[in-house]
Amino acid sequence: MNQKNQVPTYTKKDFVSNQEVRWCPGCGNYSILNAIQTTLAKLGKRKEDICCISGIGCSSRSPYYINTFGMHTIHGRAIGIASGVKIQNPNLSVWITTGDGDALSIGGNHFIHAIRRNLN
Amino acid sequence: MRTIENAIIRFSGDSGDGMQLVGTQFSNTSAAMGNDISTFPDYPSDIRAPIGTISGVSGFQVNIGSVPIYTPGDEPDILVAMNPAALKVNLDSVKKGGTIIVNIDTFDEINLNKAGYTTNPIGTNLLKSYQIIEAPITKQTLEILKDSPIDQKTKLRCKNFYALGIIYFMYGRDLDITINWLKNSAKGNNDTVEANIKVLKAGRNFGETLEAFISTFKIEKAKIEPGRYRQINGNTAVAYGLMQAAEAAGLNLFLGSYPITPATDILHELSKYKHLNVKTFQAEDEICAVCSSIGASYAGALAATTTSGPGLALKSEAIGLATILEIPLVIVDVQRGGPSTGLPTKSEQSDLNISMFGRHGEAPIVVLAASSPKDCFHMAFEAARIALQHMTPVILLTDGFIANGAEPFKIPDKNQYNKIETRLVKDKLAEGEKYLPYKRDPVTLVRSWAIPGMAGYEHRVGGLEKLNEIGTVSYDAQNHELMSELRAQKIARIENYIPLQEIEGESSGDLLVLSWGGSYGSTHSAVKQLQLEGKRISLVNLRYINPFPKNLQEILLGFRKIIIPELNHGQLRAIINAKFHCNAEGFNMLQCRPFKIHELVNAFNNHLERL
Repeated sequence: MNQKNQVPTYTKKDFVSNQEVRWCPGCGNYSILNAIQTTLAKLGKRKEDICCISGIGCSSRSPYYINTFGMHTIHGRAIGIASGVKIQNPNLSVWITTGDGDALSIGGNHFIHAIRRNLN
Repeated sequence: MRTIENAIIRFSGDSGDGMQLVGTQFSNTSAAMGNDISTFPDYPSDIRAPIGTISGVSGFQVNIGSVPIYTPGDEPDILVAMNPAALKVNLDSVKKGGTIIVNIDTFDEINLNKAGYTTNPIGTNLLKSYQIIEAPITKQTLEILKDSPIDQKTKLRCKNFYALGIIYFMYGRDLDITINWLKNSAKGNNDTVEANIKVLKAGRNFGETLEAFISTFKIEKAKIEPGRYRQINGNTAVAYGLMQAAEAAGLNLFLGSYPITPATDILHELSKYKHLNVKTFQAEDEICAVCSSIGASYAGALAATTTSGPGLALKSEAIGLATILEIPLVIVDVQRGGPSTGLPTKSEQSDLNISMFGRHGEAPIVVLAASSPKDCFHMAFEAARIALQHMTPVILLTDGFIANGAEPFKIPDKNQYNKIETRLVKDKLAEGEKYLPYKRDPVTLVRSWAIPGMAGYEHRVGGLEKLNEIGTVSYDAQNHELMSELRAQKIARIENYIPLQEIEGESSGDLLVLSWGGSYGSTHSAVKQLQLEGKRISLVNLRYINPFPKNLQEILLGFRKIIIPELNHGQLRAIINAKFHCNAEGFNMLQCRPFKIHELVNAFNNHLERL
């Protein structure tokens, strides 16, 4: 196996960025972020091949806190941007963090079309 | 047979009469026979307006010549009117003394009423200034096809080829190009093909039998630069220009788009080239279309989105995101009549303001405009080049007129378009080096481009203000002011990487005509005419609008007066006067069509006389 394909062994710490997490004390987002970072370490994907996209809202801050490629975008549109990332480079593991308003209200249209298209 | 320099022909009929098709055939044949051409398809936005009515009239105008042709022409020398409504709509525009071929079979009470004629205009004073050829097109078509196995409805649909046959005779055109096209385009339906060919020849023969009454013309080949040519419209040229740029940059092309008149054809065209590494994505709406392009750009594509006015409005927020992200993005706006749904199939130059200023916050981006159908190729390439080299969104303005209009295009030499050096980072960071996504080149102020998949370059970007160089979120007031200034300066410095403005005519004089984009054909022709009359008039047609070419101010200072003709209420004029304090005056029209040359000549003469 060539070196490029060998995925290093990661721990959760590899996916923690140097940014201060700014959620309210006690917020459920902390445990969600923790779970995502733990999962990414076990994903079997190289760190540089992971891309986290979010829209707007508290939870959508999460890409700043995850040490991969990522983009904090605009309200409701994470799905559109993530679709472009995935189509351009299907090798990437693309993650979307979104809140209820972001996904189902302002982004509702994109949400149903993303389900219909089923890109990955 | 009289030899002439050019001829303007307008095919006009009901929107189901196939006028666009025969207009295109006449244009293709003329181009293949060596004429220069310029076309103007002019059709209603209704899918199918009531048959025979004024609102259902569809027209196709073409100007062919042995001399260089820059516009589809002002007044048709020949009008083909397939019904009374077509005559009514176009009569005023036909050249006095010109020829009108009418399908006399449609001039019955019902159709005359639908067109709003209370009496039949044929043979009346209304038409005394024209030569009227009464052709029984419907009856003749049915007669020729009486033994054909195709049904009556299909037979009737062949009648456009009868009209085409007459025009082919008048201009000595070769029928073979159209006959071959027919044979290749309807494979498997030989009866229909045969029927159309029969009708085409019958139309030509009808012309021949009338030879004593109708004029015939010879138009020599145009003297054009040697090379391989094809006919191209602006939308196709945009598609090819973007593909050329992707190849020059060593990237694949991604187009995220949502269908909208008159821009959809770019999506159609590019969707054919998956095998050339073009990815097209038809999104669920305009917003997702631009967002998918932003995502693709972030992931390393040459990304574009194509739209028209209403779509550009919807994309505004996302273009602001691309501006603060500082990623390459090409936005093609094929302008149409606005505001709102406006006049979807008609042309206008009224999206300059939204392109320049249509984002919240301080969000300067690059604005370019193409001047003709073939120039769309070059300017699409330029839009992509600037986007990639300067890490910025670029809006390319075309319009419905040049998007659908066609002209001969010399296929460029492969080496004519140089490699585009992108700002992509090198494969590996140096040992111990930390990637700073918003660190800038000190000269251009452009940041570098690292894409997902590049180990060691993991970084986050977003719509929140960024800390200078480092790129993490920053709410610091001083930093925001600095970043706003850097983004503005980066765009301003692009003036060093675009060509100097060319001027047609002397660099000083009485009147400078300053036009932009798709008005070029008309302004060029009008200014040239006045220059030949000895007037001290020159022309500048802008294609680089933000930033302006460096030498523009110097050019403006060389003239006693500046006039800015635009198909809007003075959008460029406001920008020019604000920036250069030069008191330019406007000549503005909003009549759903390009300027006519004589309208411009009159306007410029008025200004010259008042000096």
